Amino acid sequence: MTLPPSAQPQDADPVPHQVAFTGSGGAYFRIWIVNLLLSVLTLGIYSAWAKVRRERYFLNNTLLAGSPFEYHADPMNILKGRLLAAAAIIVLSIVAEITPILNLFATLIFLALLPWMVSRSMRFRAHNTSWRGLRFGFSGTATEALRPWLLWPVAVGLSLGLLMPFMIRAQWHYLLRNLRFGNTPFSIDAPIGPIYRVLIISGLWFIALAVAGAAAIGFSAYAAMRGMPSDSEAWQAMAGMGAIAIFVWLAVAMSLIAPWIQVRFANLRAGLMQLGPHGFASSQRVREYYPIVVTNWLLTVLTLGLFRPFAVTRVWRYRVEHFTVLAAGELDSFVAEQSAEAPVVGSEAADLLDIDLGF
Amino acid sequence: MESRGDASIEGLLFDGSSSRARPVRLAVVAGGFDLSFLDGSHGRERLPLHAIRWQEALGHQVRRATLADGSSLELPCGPALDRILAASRHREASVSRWQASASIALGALLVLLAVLFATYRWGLPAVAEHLAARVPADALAGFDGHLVGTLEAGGMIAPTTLPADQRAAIVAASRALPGPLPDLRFHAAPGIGANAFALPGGTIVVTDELVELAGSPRAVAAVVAHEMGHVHHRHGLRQLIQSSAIAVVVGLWIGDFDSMLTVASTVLLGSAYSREFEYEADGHGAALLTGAGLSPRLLADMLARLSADAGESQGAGGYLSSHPPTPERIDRLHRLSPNDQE
Repeated sequence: MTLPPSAQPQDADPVPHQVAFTGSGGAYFRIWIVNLLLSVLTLGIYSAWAKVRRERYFLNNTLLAGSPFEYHADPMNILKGRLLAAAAIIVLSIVAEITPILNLFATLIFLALLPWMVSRSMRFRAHNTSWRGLRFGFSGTATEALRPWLLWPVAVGLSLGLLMPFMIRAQWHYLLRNLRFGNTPFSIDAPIGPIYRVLIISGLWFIALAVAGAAAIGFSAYAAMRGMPSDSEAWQAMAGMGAIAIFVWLAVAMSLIAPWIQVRFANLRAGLMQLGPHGFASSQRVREYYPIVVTNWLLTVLTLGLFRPFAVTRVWRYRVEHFTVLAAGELDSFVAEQSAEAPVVGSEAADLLDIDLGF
Repeated sequence: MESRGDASIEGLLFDGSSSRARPVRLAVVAGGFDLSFLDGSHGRERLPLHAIRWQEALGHQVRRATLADGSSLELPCGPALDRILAASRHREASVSRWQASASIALGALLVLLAVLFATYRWGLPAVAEHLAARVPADALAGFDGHLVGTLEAGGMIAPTTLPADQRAAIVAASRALPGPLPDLRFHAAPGIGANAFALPGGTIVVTDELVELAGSPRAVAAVVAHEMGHVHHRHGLRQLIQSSAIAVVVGLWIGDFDSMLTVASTVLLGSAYSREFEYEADGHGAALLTGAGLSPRLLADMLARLSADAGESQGAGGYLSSHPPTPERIDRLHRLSPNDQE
C-alpha cells in the first residue's frame, strides 16, 4: 500500500478508464426549457423536479467503463430543503433590511450555518448518486466542517489571504476523506506546496493585470482631461468614472484568472486522491479550457442567457472527458469484493433534506 | 441477440450490493419478461411486466431499469430496446416526451417569454403595489434614516448651507399644498446636483442646488408636490420590491456567470418602471398644485430648468437619467393646467 509506484510489480500497472460523456447541448436545451417553463408556471415548485431531471441527464450520460451514473434524489426532499432555505433567506433579509445592527447578526447566522449546509448537501448528493447499483456515501459532520469552512476562512482573513492554501487543503480533505463508494473510502493527502504554487502564480497574474489595467485607465483619463482646470466638475466626474472602470476591470481580471485556477486545482486534486487502491488523473489544459469559458460568456450574453444549457454542457463535457480512473486491477470485481457488506441504505437517504440553493 | 423475431436484448444486471456485472438477456414473452443469465449459471427468471420499472430515457447510450428486488439493469439504447419497450407496452412519461421534441421546446420557449413579459409588465407592478399598500408607514420610518445615513457616509450628501429663513419659506410654501406635509429635509449635494427625491418611508430630500436653481419657494414647492406624488403612491417601496424581484430572477437566469451583468440588467429593467412612476407623480403633483391654487405650469417650468441644468453639466446620476423625456412630461403638465391661471 505504501510502496512507491516504481517498486510495484509490472503487472500491477493501473488500467486507465477514461470517463465518457454522451449528452449534447441541444438535448439538454430541450430539457432545460421545459424545466424552466414548468418551474415558472408552478411558481418554483417544479424546480425540485427540474433539478432531478437535470442531474439525471448529466449523470445518465456520464459513463465510466460503459456504465452510467445515476441520481436518485426524491424531488419532495429537494422541495422541502428549498422551502426551508427560501424561508430562512426571506426572514434574514427582512431582519437585515429593517435594522442595520441585526444585519451583522444575520450575516453571522448565515456564516454559522455554512458548515452545516456543506455537510448536509454533501450527504444528500453522495447518498443519491450511484454507479452500477452501488451508492456513494458521505460521513462528514457539521462539527467537522467547522474548521475548513469557518475557522480557516477567519484565519485566511486575518492573514490577509496568506493562509488560503491551508483552507483549501482542509476543504479537500473534509470533502474527500469522508466520501466513500459502497464501503470503499476515498482518501487524499494534499501537500501544501503545490497549492501555494497555484495561488501565488495566479495572485501575481492578478496583480499584474490589475496594475496594468489601472494604469491604462488612469493614463487615458489623464490624456482625455489634459488642459481642463483641475478643480472643475468634469474632473470629478472623470474621477468617478475612472473608479468605476477600475472596479469593473478588477472583476474582469478575477474572471480571467478563475478558470486558470480551476484547471490547475482539478488536475492537482485528481492526482492526489484515491479510492481504495485506485487512483485518478485529470488532464485539463488551460489553453483548451479558456476558449470554452470565454465563448460561453460571450454567447450567453449575446443570446440573453439562452446559450446557458449549451455552456453548461460544454464545461461538463470538458471536465468529465479529461477525468480518468486509474483502476488497480479489475475495476468490476474489486468494488464487488470491497463493498459486499454495504447494501444501499434507503432510509438513511430518505430523511435527508437537500440544502442546495442552485437552481 | 434478436432471435425468432421476438423482442430481446442483451445487457448487464447489477444486484445492488456489489458492482459486479452479470450479463443477461431480456426478452418479452407472453404477458411478461424472460430474464436469462449469460454468465454460465444458466439461471432464468420469469417476471411480470410491472416488475421492471423503466427509468426515464435521459441517457443517450444506456437505459436503466430497476427490479423489485433492488437490482438494476443497464441496456444499450437502440432499435432492440425500442422493440422491447413497444412489446411490453411501456409508455414514456409526458414530460420526457415533451423534452424529446424540438417543436415542444420551441413552444415552451415562446410561452416562457410571454409569461416572463406579462409578469414583468403587469404582474410584478400589481403585486408590488398590493404589497406596498400593506406595509405600515412606521415600519419604514427607520429605513429612511438608515438610507440618509448611508448617503452621508458615502459623501453623496452633506449638511445644508441654506439660511434658516429660506428653508422656512419653502416649508411654508409646501404646507399650502393639500394633505399632510411629509418630512422635508435639505442637504447640500455637489455630487448629485439639483435634485429632489422621495425615500421609501416618505422622507423628501431637497438639495441646496435645486433650491438655488428654482429661485422661488413656490417653484421648490412644485417639485415637492411631484415628490409627494411618489410618497402618496409609495413608489420608493414599490420600486424596491420590483427591483429585488427582478434581481432574483435575473440572478437565477444568468446565474454564476457574472454579478455585474446581473446588476446592469436589473437597473435597465427597473428603469422602465420608474418612467411610469414619474408620470404618476407628475399627475399627483399637478393635482396638489391645482388644489393649492397654483398652476401645474410651475412644475413644468422646473422640469425645463432641471433639463437645461442637467444638459450643461451631467453629473454622476443627473435628475433626469431615469426620467422620461422632459418635453413629453412638460406637455402633459401643460394639458393639466387651466389657461386662466398664472
